[in-house]
Amino acid sequence: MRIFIQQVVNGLTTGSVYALIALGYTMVYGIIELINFAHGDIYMVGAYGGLIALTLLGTVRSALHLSGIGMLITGITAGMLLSAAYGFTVEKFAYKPLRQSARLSLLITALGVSIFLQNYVMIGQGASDKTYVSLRVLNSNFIVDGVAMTANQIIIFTVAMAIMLALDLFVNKTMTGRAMKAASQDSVAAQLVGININTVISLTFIIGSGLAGIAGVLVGFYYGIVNFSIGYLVGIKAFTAAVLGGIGDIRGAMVGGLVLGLLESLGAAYISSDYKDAFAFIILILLLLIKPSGLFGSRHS
Amino acid sequence: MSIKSIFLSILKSYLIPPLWMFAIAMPIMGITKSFVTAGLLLIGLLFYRLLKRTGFTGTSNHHYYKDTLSKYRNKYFLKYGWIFALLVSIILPFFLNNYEIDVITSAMLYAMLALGLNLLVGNLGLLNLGYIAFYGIGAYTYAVLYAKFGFSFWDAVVIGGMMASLISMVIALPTLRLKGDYLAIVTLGFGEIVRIVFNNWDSLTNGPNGIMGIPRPYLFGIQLSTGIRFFYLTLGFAVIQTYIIYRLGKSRSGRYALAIRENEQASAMVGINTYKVKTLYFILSAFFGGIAGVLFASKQMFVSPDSFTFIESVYVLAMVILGGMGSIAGVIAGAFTLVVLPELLRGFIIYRMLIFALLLITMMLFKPEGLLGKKAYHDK
Repeated sequence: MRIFIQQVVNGLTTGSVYALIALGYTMVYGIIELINFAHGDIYMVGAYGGLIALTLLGTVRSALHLSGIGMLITGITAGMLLSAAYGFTVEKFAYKPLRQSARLSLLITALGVSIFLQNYVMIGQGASDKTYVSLRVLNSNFIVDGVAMTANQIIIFTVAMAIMLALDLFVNKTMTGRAMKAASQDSVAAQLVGININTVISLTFIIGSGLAGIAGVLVGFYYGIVNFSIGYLVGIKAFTAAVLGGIGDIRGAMVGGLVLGLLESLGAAYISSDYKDAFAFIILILLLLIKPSGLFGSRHS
Repeated sequence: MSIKSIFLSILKSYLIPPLWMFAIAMPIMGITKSFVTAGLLLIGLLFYRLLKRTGFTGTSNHHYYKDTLSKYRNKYFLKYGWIFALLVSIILPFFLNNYEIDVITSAMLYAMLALGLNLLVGNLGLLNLGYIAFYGIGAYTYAVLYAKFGFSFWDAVVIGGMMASLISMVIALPTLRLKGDYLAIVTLGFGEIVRIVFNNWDSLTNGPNGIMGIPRPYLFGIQLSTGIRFFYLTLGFAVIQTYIIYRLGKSRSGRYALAIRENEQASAMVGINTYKVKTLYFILSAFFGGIAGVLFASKQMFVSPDSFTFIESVYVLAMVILGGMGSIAGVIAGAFTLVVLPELLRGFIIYRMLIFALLLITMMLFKPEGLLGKKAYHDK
C-alpha cells in the first residue's frame, strides 16, 4: 500500500507538469487545429530561461537578501516570460504566414520549428546536461506514514493547481477569455462579432507557452538537470494528456495530465519500468483507436 | 506616401523583428550569436519581401502551380533521362573511392525509404511520422533471423518486407479511418514504441548494444563484401523499387490515390474505396521500408536501436518534401541532396540540424510542393 501511495504522489507530481504543458497543446489546437510539435521545446526554453535567471541571480543573491521563495518566484517568472516570448515569436514567424495553406504544411513547419529550437539552444548552451540551481527550501523532506514527499513535489502540485484554477477563471469569466473560447469554437463567427482573431491567436500562444515555461522551471528544480532535448518526450506525453482529456478542452487537459501521470507512475511500478516511456504511447494509440474524442470529449472526432 | 510613413513602415517590418529576435535570443545565445541571429533574420526578411514581390512564393492565391519540370517533360526526356541516370549510376562507382561509394550507397538506401514514404505523403497526403520503424523492423528481422536461426540475406529480404507489411497492417487498419493529424501522431507513437521495444527486449535484440556480425549477402556464389559490389546490389533493389512505384503511379490505383489526395470526399463520392486504397498504400510503403531495412542491416553489418530514432523519420520526410511530393525524380534528388550535402559540409557539423530545420520551414513557406513537385494540394 505504501508503494502504491508513493507512486500516486510521484504520479501526481509529473501529472501536474504534463497538465500544465497539455494546456498549451489543447488551447492551440482548439484555435488553429495545429498539433504544435514545438510546444515541448518551448517548455525546454522555459527551463533554460529559469536556470539562466537563477544563475545570474545567484551571484548577487546575498547582496539582495533574497530568500529561497524569492529565488523560486523569480526563476519561475523568468522561465515563463522567456517561453511566452518564444511562443509568440514562433507563431508570428512560422505559423502565421501559413494559416491559409494545407494542414500538412503547417504540421511539417511545426516539426521544423521543434528541431530548430532544440539545435538553437544546443548551440547556445552546449549539448551536455546542465545542473539546475538547487534551493534549500525545495529539498526538505516530509515523511508521512512512510510515504516520502519533498517540498518540491508539493510546490509543483500546488502551483499547477493554482495556475489551472486561474486559467479556468480567466477563460470563463473575463471578456478576453471568452473571446478565446469563442474563437476556438468557431473562428469565422468570432470574427463576425468583432473578435480580433490575430490577437486571440497570439494571446493563446503567449499563455500556453508561458504555462509550459513555468512547467519547465518546476521540472528543472525537480530533476535537477536540464538538456536541450528534454522537450521532445515530455511534449509528446503532454500531447497524449491533451488527447486523453479531449483535445481542445481546457479542463480535459488538466484531468488528462493528472491521469496520464498516475497511469505512468503506477505502470512503471507494477508492470515494467523499462517500458515506462512506452506507456504514454500505448495509451495514446489505444485512445485514438477506441475513443479519439478523449475521455470526456464529444466534439472533434 | 509621406517620408514619415515610409520610415515607420520600414521600422516596423525590418527593424523591430530583428531587434525583438536579438532581445529574446540574448539570454540563451549570448551577445554575439544573438547578433548573428538578428542579422540573418534581417536578410531573411529582405529576401522574403523580394520573393513575394516576384511572385515566387507558393502561398499566393493561385491554387495550381505550374509544373516546374513541364518545360523538359517531353517524351524523349522521360525515356532517355532515366536511361542516362541509370548509366551514370552504373559507371559512377569506378571514379569514386570507398568512402564516397559508402556515402552514395547510403543515399540510395535513403532514396528507397523516401520513395516508400512518398507513396503515403506525396501520393495520398498522409503523414507518417514513424516510417523509420519499418526500416528498423526490416533491419532487425534480418539481424535476429541470422543470429538465431542462420537465415540468409535472400530469405530475410522477403521475410523482412513481409514482417514490416504485417505489422503495418495492425497499425493501418484501425488508424486510417481517423483524421489526418491523428494518423501522424499514431505513427509517431508507433515508431517510438518499436524503438523502445528494440531497446528493451534484450533476449531477442540484445538491447541497446545491438546485434553485430551480420553478414553481407551472396549473389551467384560471390559474397558482396566490398563496397562497390554492395553498391550494385543496392542499385538493383532501388531500380526495381523505382520501377514498381512508377508503374503503380500509372495504374488505376495510382490515379485513385491522386484523386484522394486532392479531395477525399469527392473521390469517395465517385465510388473510390478510399479506405482500401489508403490501406494498400500504407502496407506497400511499409514493405519497401522493410526491404530497405534488410539492406541497411547487411550494409552496416550491425544494427542498434540508435539508427531508428524519430529524427530519422523526419529526415526521410524532409527528403520527400525537399524533392517534391509525388515526384519520383524529385524524391530521389531530395534524398541524394540531404545525404551528400552534409558530407560536404563536415565543417558545419553543429549547424547541420539547424540548417536542416530552417530548410524545412522555408520550404513550407515558399514551395510547399517541393522543388520538383507537381501540384500543391489544398485542404483548406
